[in-house]
Amino acid sequence: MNQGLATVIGMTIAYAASFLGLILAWRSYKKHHSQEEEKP
Amino acid sequence: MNVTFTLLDWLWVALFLLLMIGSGVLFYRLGKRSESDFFLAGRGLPWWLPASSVYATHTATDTPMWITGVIYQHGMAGIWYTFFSAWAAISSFVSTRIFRRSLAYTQAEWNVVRFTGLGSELLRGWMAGWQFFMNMFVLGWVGIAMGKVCEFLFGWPTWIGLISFSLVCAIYVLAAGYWGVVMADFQQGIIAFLVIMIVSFWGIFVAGGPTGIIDKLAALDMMERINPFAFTGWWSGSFPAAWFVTMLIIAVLGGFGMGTSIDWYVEAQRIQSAKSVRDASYSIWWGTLLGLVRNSVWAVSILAFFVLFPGMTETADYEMGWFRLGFDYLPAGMLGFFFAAILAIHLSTISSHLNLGALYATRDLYQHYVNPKADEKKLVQVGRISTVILLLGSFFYGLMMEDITSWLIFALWIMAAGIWLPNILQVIWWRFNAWGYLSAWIANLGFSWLVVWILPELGVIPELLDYQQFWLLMLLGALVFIPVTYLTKPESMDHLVHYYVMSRPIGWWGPVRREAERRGLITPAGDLAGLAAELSRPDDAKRK
Amino acid sequence: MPFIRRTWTAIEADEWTKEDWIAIILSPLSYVLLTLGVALSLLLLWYGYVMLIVGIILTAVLHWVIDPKLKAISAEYEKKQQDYLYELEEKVRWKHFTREEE
Repeated sequence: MNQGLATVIGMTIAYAASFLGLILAWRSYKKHHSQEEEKP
Repeated sequence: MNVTFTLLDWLWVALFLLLMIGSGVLFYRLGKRSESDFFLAGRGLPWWLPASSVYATHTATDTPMWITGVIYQHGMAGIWYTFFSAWAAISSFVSTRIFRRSLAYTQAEWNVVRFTGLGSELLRGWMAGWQFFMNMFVLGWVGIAMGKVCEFLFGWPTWIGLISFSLVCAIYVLAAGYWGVVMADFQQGIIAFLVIMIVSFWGIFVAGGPTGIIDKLAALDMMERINPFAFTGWWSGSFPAAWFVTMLIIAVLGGFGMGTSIDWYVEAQRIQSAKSVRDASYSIWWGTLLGLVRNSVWAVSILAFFVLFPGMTETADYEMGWFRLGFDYLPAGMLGFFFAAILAIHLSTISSHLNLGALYATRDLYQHYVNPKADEKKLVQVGRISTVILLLGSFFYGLMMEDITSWLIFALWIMAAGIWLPNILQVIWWRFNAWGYLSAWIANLGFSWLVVWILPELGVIPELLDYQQFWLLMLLGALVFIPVTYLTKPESMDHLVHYYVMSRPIGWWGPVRREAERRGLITPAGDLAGLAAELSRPDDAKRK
Repeated sequence: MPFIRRTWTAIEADEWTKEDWIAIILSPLSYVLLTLGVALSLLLLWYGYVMLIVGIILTAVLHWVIDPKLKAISAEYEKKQQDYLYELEEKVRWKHFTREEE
């Protein structure tokens, strides 16, 4: 495998993991936020 | 080379592995008590235990290969490459103290202690995802190094060395969590330190002792190799002084921040496992010093290897130099002991990253984002499942992606360059906020690619030297995160005051401090002077 | 008052003082001198011995200066630690959420 492709694949996995964490955080924050708003 | 082991050699290896698995069984009951036990040994360790873990974890199978590489290539000046861990010098008395007071389990969790709102949560999620991946990656990288060592020694296919010893390690990490890690690290640290000393001194002796090494270097007309300041000029060559200065700044000033070195994330866990702020400080300071002193001994033994085998040009040939000193020259019966020490070096790194990756998966991703109501039993169970996922993922990285692994090491270093300054600012500047910090992380993704690969490839800029890349990435990052910080609101004053009173950070915290004083949460500085004068009076005067 | 304070009240120890800055300066110097000192002493070079000895002295001074302060900080902080841990556990379970947002 050439150097450039190897780096692209590796970095993509690294950032995919980070973005997954970010999305999980966003969903969770929104969920708790809306729960708080629904409370009287 | 293929090494032939005698029965005594295998006995050493078996004895050592039993000792390690035994520590898992012994501490099984403690590890399973709670999340805090499985990941932080109940926050009750005296400084020397996490210190030995700092030392043992950062002595990996690939460390002697890497250090051999830089010393063989640059002579004693190469020791500055190993000096990156000196971030602990200032950190031990600054950011370690501040982080310990935050009580955050992980650096990801620290984000919600320091910042607030959506930005802080996004940072936590981002960092947890990143660290889960990173630990899997490091496991694969270190694992394949062990595979290569076994291939070199016994002619085994690389997968055997990678999988078999990581599996042994997983037994005690799964059983006892961080208790198993830290107790095994203590034993492994002692064994590894002793054997590194024995093999290194043996190598120095074989090369004719210190005077023999110097005489041979003189005969080779390479006396500059004992000069730690022999650079290739100020700005150019394979090791310019500008790179030395850059490395020193990154390491030393980086101690004011958190995460300025990739090792910080491992140390963060050790800091929180220490029983007090003082124990946390000393664990980082002494654990790192032990590593630095070990590097010094290694460096001299590699000079010994250099005079024994000068003129090697291929990295693959000389990077195994230190291992060769042991396996070529140690007497029969001692080889197994040496191999057991290599296993100690290997297992201590693997165990730490298995438990640390599982910590991010459990505390930050599972407990905080998936199931906040999980009880302690469930959390320990998730910790164990995450450990298994990390283990399997590391096999994938190690076996299928060896090329990627080697290039990613460099890519990750470059990644760290753009967030070096924000990592410091988050500690020392009250106005720096979650959005500024998050923008720095994401902007750096684009900039590092542009500066290191895309623009040089397109011929827009020349290929830059390491130190040029670092400063350019730092500047480009600042052009993004400083405007973002000022264009978004500061963190809420309530939150900042609470954080300030708890962590007592160093640096520019004036408005927050004044607010804390106004609320009566902190004694004003002026009043402290009076208190100090009162204290300095002799006891009998005070009584009057 | 002596130049280096070795008696601290909890409130004073929480402040960043010159003792901290002395530690911040001495600590990297100790690391550099001990790293080079050990390596160059092993090569039996006289300046290696000098670096090593100075490094050991600086390390001793560093600890002499900072240890009383670290002890005072630790003792004070441990009293508050349980409350802070409770807050952290609330936060991880999102129980803090309403209060933070207000």
